[in-house]
Amino acid sequence: MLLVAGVRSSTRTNMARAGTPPPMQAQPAAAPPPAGLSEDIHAEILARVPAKSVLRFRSVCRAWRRLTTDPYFLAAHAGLRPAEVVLYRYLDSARRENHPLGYAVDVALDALPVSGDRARRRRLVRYPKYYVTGSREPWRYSMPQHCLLLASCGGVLLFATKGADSYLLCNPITRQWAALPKITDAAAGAAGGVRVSEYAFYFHEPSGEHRLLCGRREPAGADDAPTAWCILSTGAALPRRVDTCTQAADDLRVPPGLRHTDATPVPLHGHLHWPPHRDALNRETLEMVAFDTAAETFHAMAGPRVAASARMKLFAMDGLLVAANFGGEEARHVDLWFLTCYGTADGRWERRHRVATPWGFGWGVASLMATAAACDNRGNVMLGTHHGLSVYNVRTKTVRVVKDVATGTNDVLMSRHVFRESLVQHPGFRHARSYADLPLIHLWR
Amino acid sequence: MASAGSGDEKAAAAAMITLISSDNEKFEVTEATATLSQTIRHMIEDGCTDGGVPLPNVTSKILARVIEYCKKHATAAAGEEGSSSSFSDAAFLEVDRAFLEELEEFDDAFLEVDRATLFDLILAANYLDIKGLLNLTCQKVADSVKGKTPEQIREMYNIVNDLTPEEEAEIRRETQWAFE
Repeated sequence: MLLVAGVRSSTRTNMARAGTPPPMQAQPAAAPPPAGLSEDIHAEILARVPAKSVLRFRSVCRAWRRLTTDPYFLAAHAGLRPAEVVLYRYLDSARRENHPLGYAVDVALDALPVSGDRARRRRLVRYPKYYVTGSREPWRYSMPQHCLLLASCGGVLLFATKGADSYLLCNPITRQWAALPKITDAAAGAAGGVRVSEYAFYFHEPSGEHRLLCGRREPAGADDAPTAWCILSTGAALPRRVDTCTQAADDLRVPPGLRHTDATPVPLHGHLHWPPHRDALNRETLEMVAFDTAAETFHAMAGPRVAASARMKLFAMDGLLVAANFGGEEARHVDLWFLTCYGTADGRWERRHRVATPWGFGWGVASLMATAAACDNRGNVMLGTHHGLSVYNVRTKTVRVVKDVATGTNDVLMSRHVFRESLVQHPGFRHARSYADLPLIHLWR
Repeated sequence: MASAGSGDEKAAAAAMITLISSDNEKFEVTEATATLSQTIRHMIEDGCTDGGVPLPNVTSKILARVIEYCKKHATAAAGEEGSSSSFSDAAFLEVDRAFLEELEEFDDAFLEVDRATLFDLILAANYLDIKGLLNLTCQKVADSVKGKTPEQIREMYNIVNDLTPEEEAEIRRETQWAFE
């Protein structure tokens, strides 16, 4: 049984080994009574403590060290972490490697809990920005060394770096990183000049690998659709070509790449889902593209039935896929559609919530690229941009405005990325011990 | 398994359950209140609650508090079931905001106890398998320990540091940034 009254976890384990009775007399006289909680309860409590504290508590005693490095505990802990939206903050950079330009800009990634609790906002990483703000032709002024945040998957961020021939995966909480090789022309099976785009970054649970789905396009092709697909993986040295083509998939719209998408694909039930879009042929219906991460094939799914304008972002809440419809440019509310009975004939989109958007006009012109649509495990849904940000709670059906986060003038921009801190150890990741391991990505301030 | 017939008869008779604390005090509660505990729910399903449910691990003082929690939250659970059955296009059903606020205030006030009582509540919630109460109480303890140093934790919970200085130094090296 779980209840081992009067025995502290730290000594209980030692006793179990030595087979001696509980050393109740070992308590100092003035000390409070022993917690009397079993190790399972210690785990329940520690699973609710933020990651940084868990790391600290590894040096409390042997029992806690063992407990807080146990893979099952770490998975449970990660599952209880509140979701955070990622914010970009632009900062002046003093990086020497970017001095040829005379000035440089860094991006700091800040994480804000979906609950809107500004006191818990914190810095994740800092890295040199892709291009300089304010330039008339920013694409020409990419800094000599830079990173681009492509996606976030749980606690792991995916960066493309310039100059290096790999993608960087970084867990800013454990300070661990991994690299995925960029796809060369030879690996893509082409003569040269082939363009490779990233489509989805996801965790493949059966293998424990982080994977990146890439599409290859022929140079100067009239059609932008990829002609071949391949998967990069933390568990493999080389890209693997996949045949995603099924007969049914021929008419499928190709989902947007990670560099151009409004919303990164949402994982649920072993599939990745791109937001619903209007079917080109049948204007009445909305269609979604999904990718089966086991079979590695694309397929179509029905979207909600929305007559008016539809501009949607997806997230998963309590095991259900949710589409947030931001509507047309002048919409004053966001509708939340829930997909029930996923993957069955009874699958149905239900409009369950209509969230008034108190910021009114203005936000509509903003790109959905810099719009948050995310939820946590307490019923909170964060929606908004730097024009206005609110937190709606699906249980209380109340909406709260979060002020002074991204104001449009404070060099802070909303991102489309969601972060959830995780201490889970993944194979293929290494510790970043010093600046030399990850010269572009700053974990140290 | 009891026969279906006798089970139905019992359900019809107001469905009251008697809980017996370790110090032999009897508490009569409705089935709706009692079944917030998965442990008791299973006992009811197995038809072994006749003559009361002895809870040798829970004192009357703690059991009274646990029942107080379950009564309040059973009402909330009943309300939720009622509204979720009719999701349709406009699930713009009014929620009882006043009640939800009241529930939140109840939970906050409920947690205003000394540490020993809080731990007893955790033990009871764990033993009786009451998810909401276990989450609430564990979160309270988690909030009180986060941000603390290992030294403070050892002092708070009277934990003996059984790591060798070398082991401790190594862990500190590996997790150095967590101490910044």
